[in-house]
Amino acid sequence: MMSQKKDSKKITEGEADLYLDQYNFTTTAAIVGSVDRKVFVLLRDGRILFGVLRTFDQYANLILQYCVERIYFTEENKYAEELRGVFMVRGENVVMLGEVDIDKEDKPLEMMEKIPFKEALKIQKEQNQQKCKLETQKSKDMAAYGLVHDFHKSDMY
Amino acid sequence: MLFFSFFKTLVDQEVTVELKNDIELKGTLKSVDQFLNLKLDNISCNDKTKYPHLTSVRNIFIRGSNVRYVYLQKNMVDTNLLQDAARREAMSDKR
Repeated sequence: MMSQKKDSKKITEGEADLYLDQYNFTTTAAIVGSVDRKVFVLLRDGRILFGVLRTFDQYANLILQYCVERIYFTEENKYAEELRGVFMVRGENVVMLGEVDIDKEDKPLEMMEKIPFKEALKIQKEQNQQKCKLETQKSKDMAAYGLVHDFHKSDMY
Repeated sequence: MLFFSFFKTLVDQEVTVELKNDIELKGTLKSVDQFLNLKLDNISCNDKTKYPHLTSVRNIFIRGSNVRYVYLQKNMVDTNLLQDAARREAMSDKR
């Protein structure tokens, strides 16, 4: 115990600064302020989740509690939502994460009509299939010119 | 690591980030990490219809793997210096 204390004292101020400097620029530093707050997460498959961020790591793997999945159809002015419980999200599927202002959160929803979640899923599936077709065609067209179109079937956001 | 250092010099400046789904997010760059994950403050989005909830969000964390471009102002970057540094880094990798 004593030796440990001695060792920790050996770190010079400069070294400590260096360590803190590095800490400033990690994933950890970026989202540590959002822990235990309500956040939204956009996933690569297009899902939008709202929940309380409980913990995370350097890959942006996340644990969300009281999670709600929401689907928007802004053109039709409709939305749907369903309670999902606890979500563990693997970091590679995260597109973005943002802290939500709880006071303003429901404002865009007031103007929208809520529809059953099952119905929304069906519409979303159709839309995704259509998008997939469109993007695959685009990939083919661009490939004809020797260009690459960065599209994967799992990217629906 | 060069571009990580480069992005660190851009902290607190206004940038526009284009994601791979064509969405553009404008905001003040708050932090960068080694994967080039970005944190933006005071964001605004070019396509509000796709994500209506973004109006209630002030700061966002964007995973670096989904970024296509970062738009900068011309005066934010010293291209000569960057080119020089890139070459020097490439040379030191060879050795």
